[in-house]
Amino acid sequence: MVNFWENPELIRHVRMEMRPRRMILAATVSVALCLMAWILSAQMNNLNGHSNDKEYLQVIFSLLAGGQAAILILWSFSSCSQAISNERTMKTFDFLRTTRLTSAELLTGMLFGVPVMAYFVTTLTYGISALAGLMGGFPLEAILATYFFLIVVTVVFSLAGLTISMMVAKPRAGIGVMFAFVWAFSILGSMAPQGVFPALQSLLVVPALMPLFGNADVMIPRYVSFFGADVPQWMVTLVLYGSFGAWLIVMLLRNLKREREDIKLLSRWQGIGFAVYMNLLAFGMLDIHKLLEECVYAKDAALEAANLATGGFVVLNFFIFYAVGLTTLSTPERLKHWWRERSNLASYFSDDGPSWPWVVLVAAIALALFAFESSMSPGIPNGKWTWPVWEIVVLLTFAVRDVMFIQWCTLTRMKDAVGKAVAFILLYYFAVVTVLAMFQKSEKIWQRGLAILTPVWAFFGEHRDASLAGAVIQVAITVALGYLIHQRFAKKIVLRA
Amino acid sequence: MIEFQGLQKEYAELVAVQPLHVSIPEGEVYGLIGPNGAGKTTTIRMACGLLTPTAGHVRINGVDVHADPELAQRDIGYLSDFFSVYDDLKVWEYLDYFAHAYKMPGDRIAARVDEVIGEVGLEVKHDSLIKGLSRGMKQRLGIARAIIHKPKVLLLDEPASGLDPKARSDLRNLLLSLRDEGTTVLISSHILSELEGFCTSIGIMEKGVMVYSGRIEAISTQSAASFRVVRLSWLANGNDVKSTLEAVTGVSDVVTQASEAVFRFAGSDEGLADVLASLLAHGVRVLSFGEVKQTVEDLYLKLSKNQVM
Repeated sequence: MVNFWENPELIRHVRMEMRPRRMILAATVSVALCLMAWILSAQMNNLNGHSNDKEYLQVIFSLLAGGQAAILILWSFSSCSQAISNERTMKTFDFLRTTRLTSAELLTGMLFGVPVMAYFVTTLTYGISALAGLMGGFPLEAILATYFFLIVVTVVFSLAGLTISMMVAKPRAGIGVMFAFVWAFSILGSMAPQGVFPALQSLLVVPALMPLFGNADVMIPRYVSFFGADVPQWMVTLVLYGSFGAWLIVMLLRNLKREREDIKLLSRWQGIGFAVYMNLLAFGMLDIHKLLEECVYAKDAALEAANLATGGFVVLNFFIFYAVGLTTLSTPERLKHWWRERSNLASYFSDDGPSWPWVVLVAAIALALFAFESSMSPGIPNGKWTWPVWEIVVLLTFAVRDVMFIQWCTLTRMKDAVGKAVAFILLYYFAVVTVLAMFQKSEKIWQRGLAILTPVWAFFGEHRDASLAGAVIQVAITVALGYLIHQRFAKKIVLRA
Repeated sequence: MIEFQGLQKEYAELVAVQPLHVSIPEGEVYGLIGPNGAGKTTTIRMACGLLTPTAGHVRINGVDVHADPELAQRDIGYLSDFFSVYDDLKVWEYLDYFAHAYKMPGDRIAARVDEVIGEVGLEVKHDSLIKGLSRGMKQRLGIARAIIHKPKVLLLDEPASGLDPKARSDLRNLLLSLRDEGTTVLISSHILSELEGFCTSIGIMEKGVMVYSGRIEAISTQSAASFRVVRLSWLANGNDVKSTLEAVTGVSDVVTQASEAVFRFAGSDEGLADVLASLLAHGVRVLSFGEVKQTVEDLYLKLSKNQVM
């Protein structure tokens, strides 16, 4: 690994972005804006007749730090989410891939090099904001922690941006995915304080920092429940961003130097690891005491809490099945090669084979984790838990069917097959719900229809006969898709025209 | 040395390259020729590690390109037909970046950058931003990038695309000097005249299949053993040259136009001398008579399965 400061990729970006004229312009504008904000705040303070200088200095610090955070995070995320796809479009990426730089070296260079101007502007204005904070009476460690977290969040968002740009064909597509990502992130974080996953609010970082500035209250507590213990918010923030960042690094290191068509985000075992991580993380963030408090209205609060927790577990794993199925999907070429070379049943679990056996394995592991998690939940006796085997099996049949459908689509001549296949699946569910709603004669028929054609009713544990019929139909469709895939491979090979 | 061992590339519905077994010794200039879509680019992209083969191996100087890519890249220089360069860098910065990216010893980089800039004739643009260069200059910069780390193997995919005649000639001279220094070159093209004169071996690909691979002398000798092409010109005096020629044993496919003729002759040097003697004996006033040197294009036409060029 080359020295960080001698990383050629980093130096290239510094040379491209930091030409003296550009640097002077950026420095002048950013420092001028900071000073103007300072002067404006001072004027407002005088006009309002406030004599407390510290208060307005604190406002200036918050204003500047907020501005720096917005600029650094959004600039980095936006530029990184276009970086690789831009290089591909320009046909310069192949030359990077044929150098001796390792994926780790390329990644390091891009991570800090692509948004280097944003780092420059932030570093330059840091002195002004830090001065305002210190003069305003904020503790030095709180100011340092603010910038430390700013760097951590920026790095994770830049990693997410690079992962997006590695996968999309066009740079503009990266921006769309980026906005969806930011929106989901802020919704999750802002909903957290009211829910049973209070630790989720640590995603927003600000709640983790507020107590350091002496602003802890009921809405923004200093500690949140994490794996049943009260843990400082900043620590949860670090764990969340650290682990998310680690998964993104795994995906990038695996795929950065690959052709776009050869990208498989995770290996099969990494997929299993991801499923275990998500289950444990959700369990760790669930505040059982808060859940029990929410269920006090019920006749048996513990039973109600157990049912709700089980429902949440089932929903989470439904999405995990899709996530594992998609991130470990074989490329058409590798799958075809596997199909020709496959020898026995064990080969179905090879890294190039179909991903559905691993989705089934994930389901089995999820159930084992459920047993562990239910035994570790304080306040809910073991007898209150019901094993969600039935629900998991029903959901699994739908997830496997959809994963097989996506795999089949990748074997056709469809362009951007995965994206289109996912769109078709969403369209299917939307169409089923709409058609059933249009022709429903009674609520029971509507519910049974949904139980057969969608996995919805598996979450509620009712209409088991209809759900069973639905599961059997999905298995039949899955077998048919398997046959179609088999037929496609058995077709005579076409020589290049 | 470049070795393809059962190298194969398949996509979901087509085979781009059928299992390929070729060994290109050190110092050889190997021309990969064939029509568009024959699999030349796919082969070169697999050879430089950009594409993962469906099966088989590529070894560059004994190192498996896909098993140990970072080590293999030390010896590989790659250039594709259409590419961009980083417009916001200066010429020397661009080459300096790649020299570092190929992990050349730091103390030799500055001198090597200057040397390569001189080799491709961009001395006056040393400190210029790349965005100000012409297309031909950018192509030359691309060539400089490919050789900056003194690779032992050069993989060039249609390198002369978009070059003007002068730049083509410069490229040709550069490749000749690299050949003389012992660099192994694999160069693809569908413009056969580009390869004329400096290829020592050729491989002909069609529909993903290597239909022929071997040294040019071997092909020429092989062809000469069966027939050679002879061109003749004479002073027009009403003689029926075509009939005279066709009457000689070993002569075939006589094509005449005005006072010139081209024909095939199967036989020894003595036999060919007899053809000339026979013409003279029939009163044909011969101006020139000689064997036509085989071009790469001739060889291609002889060996290929007549795919559209």
